[in-house]
Amino acid sequence: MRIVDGAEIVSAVRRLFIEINYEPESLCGVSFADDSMGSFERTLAAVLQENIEKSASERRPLCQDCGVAQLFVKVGKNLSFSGAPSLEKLLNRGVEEAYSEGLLRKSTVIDPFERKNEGKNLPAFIHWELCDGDKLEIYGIAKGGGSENVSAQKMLVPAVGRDGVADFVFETLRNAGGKGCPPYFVGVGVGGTFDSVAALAKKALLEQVSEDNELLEMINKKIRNLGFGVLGFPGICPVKAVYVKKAPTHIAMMPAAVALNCHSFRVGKVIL
Amino acid sequence: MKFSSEILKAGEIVRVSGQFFTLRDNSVKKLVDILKSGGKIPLDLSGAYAFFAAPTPGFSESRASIGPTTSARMAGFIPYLLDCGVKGFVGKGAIPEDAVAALSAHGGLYFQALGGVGAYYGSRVSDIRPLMFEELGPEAVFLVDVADFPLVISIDSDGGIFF
Repeated sequence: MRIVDGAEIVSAVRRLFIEINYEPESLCGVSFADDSMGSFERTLAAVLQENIEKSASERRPLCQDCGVAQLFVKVGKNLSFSGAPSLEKLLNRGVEEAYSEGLLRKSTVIDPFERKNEGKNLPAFIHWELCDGDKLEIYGIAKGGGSENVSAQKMLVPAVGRDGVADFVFETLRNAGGKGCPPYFVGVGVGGTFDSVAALAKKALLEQVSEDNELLEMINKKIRNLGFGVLGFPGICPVKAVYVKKAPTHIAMMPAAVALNCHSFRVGKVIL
Repeated sequence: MKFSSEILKAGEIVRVSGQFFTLRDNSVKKLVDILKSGGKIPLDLSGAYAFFAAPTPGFSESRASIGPTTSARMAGFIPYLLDCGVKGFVGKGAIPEDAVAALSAHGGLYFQALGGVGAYYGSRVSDIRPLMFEELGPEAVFLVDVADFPLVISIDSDGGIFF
């Protein structure tokens, strides 16, 4: 059994959420300008670039919407920890410290109807996975309401195949337009169950992989001429990258989910 | 509000300097409820410009970010606010027909700020201070002073539209 100091976990999560809001590795080297762009779109792409630079140099959050704090955590079965009765408490403490000391916006309300903001950006929204070994792997993603609100999932039928899934991705992007602040990073999940497919789409964003190149190619072909570009203004294609994950599923099902991430792609990982 | 060009035409980018008051999901309803019940607010709405936004904290550390939220969620209140004297709105995305019609009828203006470039806009803000509903945290009504703030003219006072 390996015991990790709770204070180390708190400070790792604090550093992670501050880093992804100011200088995420997921945006390292990313350029939004494209040869196909007209001059208006190019002007907008330049502003996006300047935003990334200003965030790092002036220490202002990349986007004013620092999201709810979402974590995907893999806990080794031989890992234990000190400092709190639960790992969940430690993760929440790390998030609270990040959003307070990191001057990040607290956008979480405690009840979906009463909408009271307690000013801590808690709770953290945590996905748990148990695994072998003794490591603690934490992915953090800061994702605002704009892009979450245009993400979608659907229970398709098996007969639609890859073509039907690609159509659903196209439809989701077309309906989103500029509302989720493109250029989009697109996470696609296929398979699993009604609840797990959405998480699969998010994991596609975190891991930035393609588990089905045939589907990826179909999607890229269909979305090539969506007819809008940066921030939804006239352009050709509002997508920066597409990632795909798939999972086993029921004989009668083809669950599909499309997690759209805005141009402020804020993902990071820490391994303890 | 000062504009970098004299003629404001839909589809063009203009740089503005002046003051906005922020409004969004939680605060717009509270504000309108006060106004409709005849209550007083510490803000003169005539000629004012509303910004659908919520800033990050950290203004006093010169580290705040601010940017637009989706206007369509608050667009139902635009006609009433125009009747109260509000001159223009800044947000993100298209707004429904009845809000467009109300803007045309009043010669009002709708601008789109560029989505998600919070740091870029934050560096063009010279002051942010809370005015009303501080208990709402980031959704409070803030007064925001800006300089050289680029916006896309989305609806101009002649009814020209660019979404």
